[in-house]
Amino acid sequence: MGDIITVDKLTKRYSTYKRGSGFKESLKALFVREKVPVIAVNDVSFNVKEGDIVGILGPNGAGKSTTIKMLTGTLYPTSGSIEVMGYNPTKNRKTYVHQIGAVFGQKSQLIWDIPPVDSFRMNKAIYGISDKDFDERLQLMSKIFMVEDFITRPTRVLSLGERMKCEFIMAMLHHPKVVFLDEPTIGLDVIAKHDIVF
Amino acid sequence: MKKHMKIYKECIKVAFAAASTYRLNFILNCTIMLLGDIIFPLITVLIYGSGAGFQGWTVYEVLLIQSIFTMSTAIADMTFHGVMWVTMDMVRNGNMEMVLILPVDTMFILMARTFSFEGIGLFLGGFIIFIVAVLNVSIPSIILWLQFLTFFIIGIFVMMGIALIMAAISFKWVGNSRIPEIFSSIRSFGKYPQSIFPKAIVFITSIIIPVAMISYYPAAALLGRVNSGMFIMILPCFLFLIFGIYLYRHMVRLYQGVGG
Amino acid sequence: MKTIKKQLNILWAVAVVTYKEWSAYRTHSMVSILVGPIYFIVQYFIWTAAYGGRAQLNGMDLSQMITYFGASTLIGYLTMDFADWNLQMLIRTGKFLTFALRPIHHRFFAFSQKVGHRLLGLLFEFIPCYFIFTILFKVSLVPTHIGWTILSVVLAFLMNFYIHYILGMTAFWFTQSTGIRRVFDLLSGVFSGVFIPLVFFPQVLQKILFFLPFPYMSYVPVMVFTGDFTLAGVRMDIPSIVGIQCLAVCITILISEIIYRASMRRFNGVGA
Repeated sequence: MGDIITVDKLTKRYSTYKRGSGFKESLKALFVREKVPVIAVNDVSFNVKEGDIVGILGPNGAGKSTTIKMLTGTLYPTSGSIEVMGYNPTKNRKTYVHQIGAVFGQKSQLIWDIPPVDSFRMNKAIYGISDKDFDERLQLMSKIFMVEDFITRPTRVLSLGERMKCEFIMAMLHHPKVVFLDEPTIGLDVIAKHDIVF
Repeated sequence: MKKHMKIYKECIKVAFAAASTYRLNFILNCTIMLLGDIIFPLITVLIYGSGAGFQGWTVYEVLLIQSIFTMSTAIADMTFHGVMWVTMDMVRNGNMEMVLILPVDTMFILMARTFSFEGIGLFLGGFIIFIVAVLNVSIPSIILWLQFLTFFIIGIFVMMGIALIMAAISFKWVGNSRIPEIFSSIRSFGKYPQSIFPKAIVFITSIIIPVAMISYYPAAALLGRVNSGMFIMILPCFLFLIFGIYLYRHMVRLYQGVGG
Repeated sequence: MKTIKKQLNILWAVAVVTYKEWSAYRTHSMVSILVGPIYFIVQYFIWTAAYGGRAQLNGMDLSQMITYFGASTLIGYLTMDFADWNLQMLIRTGKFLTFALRPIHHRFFAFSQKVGHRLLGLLFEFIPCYFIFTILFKVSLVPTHIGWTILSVVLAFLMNFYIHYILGMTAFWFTQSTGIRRVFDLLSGVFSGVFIPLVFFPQVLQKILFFLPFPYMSYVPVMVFTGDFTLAGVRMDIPSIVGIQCLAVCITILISEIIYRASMRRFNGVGA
């Protein structure tokens, strides 16, 4: 099995402004601001083989989310290279994202006021999934994740655990070759985490 | 009371910090609002410029009404209008609990937290037009100024009442972004001399939803056109505000009972 | 051919989803119907008093004026949108990322949303309001040339969308762009003719307005509706002004595309 993801010397740098607290600092900030350089990702290299399940672990602020964003092509690296399934994620975005799925824990794809199944159907159109494939995969995943009971109820009445399960389904309906998960178990209880991982 | 003053002071500091952090945008917003404000009374000028006008009112007298309206809106925007937006937002996202657990009156803390300096530009714009208008009408005596101030402050109470009623409605009609627009269109009745409206509408604008108090009565005061009837109208305004406060508090209690 | 079919599928899917999303809020439409008529009532009394028995003001008589505001309100229900508000919300909350992750052009998504939303508006705002105006208020509201009017309204629909989308994209560049939008709303209200017909403005200003997007958002379709277009002392026949409106829309689409590309470059450089 070959490498499906190759990351070489990946680096992301940006600068932010120092913001003081307290009245005096705020007043000063009206006229003069200090620039603070930040190295979010520093010379990272790794390979992932097809079929692997890989976890990136690290303390808060280590650069995990930043790395994943670069892998999904939504953030451009400062230097270094990324290759996923032979693609450079920052080029040919539409073709690339057609084949990946992503769940960003804090940013929901589900539409708040309508049932998840309607949001699924919208993604069906966006990814151009055929009726047959859609029905098959929806049935399969609804069973695995045990969401059949609530995918027809508006998203806003679901609990966080139920919503996260639906987010997963949404990310995988189009049969992506690679799935990226950033903080997917945030807010989930131990049992829900167990269910999702297994 | 002292605790409330302290909280309010902190909130003002936070508002200032927020304004200076996004300083470019703040200065931009202020200037833009200042300019934007001039546009609206322009319409009055254009109407009069085309040879038309409201009978019994010179263009400066109508501008007086509208500049007072602008200043009132600016003060409302800076101090309490935020309660409506933040309530709507919090109820919609189910975040109200975070405020309800605080050991302070919900209505007060939401108003304090949404204090914003951005209305300063709007106030300055309104004030400038106000001065221009006052200089072109007969200079009012001290008594008339006092009458004006009274009506103006009561008018702000009416604004507060409207904001609270809108916020209260948003508990029931969740996420309805057109509620503010309805009230905005009702408020616009108060921007013109009430003589152009039929009696039925004047009844509504002076007693039921007393928007006439926001700027029409204060302007009439400065122009010495006050009659005793206008003083009696202060009463419905107070009732209106009390009703708004009561309704809002009631909806908060209901919310707590149901659990959102 | 396949791409067009796919795009139409997406358009329809998003429109349906948006329609469902908003019809979940029945009260929203109920309240929305009232906004137009209330504003109209204010305008009715203002102008009736302002005319004070005069026959014409700037070439318009009172009944034309009343029709003007009636048509303005109705066309507004068909063309209004919140694309700027929606986009800046997505950017501020970081949710815009979920669109960058999917094979869809966000602007197309937003356009599909508007189609769905205004479809709802057609049924629950335009039609009831039309009845309120024609039957209750007894205002005459029949367009002189229905074909051109429809075309002009469609162009105004597009114009409103692209302009608001451009406004929304300012959120990619400025963290707090609410001020810009508030002023733009005010300016567009004034210069699109919603508060007062554009013929009331000084001639010089009217000439400049030809080169700004505002008239094409409301004034043009409303005047096409009344069958008589005048601006800056120039009287045009309906096909000509609709042609110019079309040109304005094309230019706006071009500008929005340029800004979109620059915004995406920035978004990808700075991060969500």
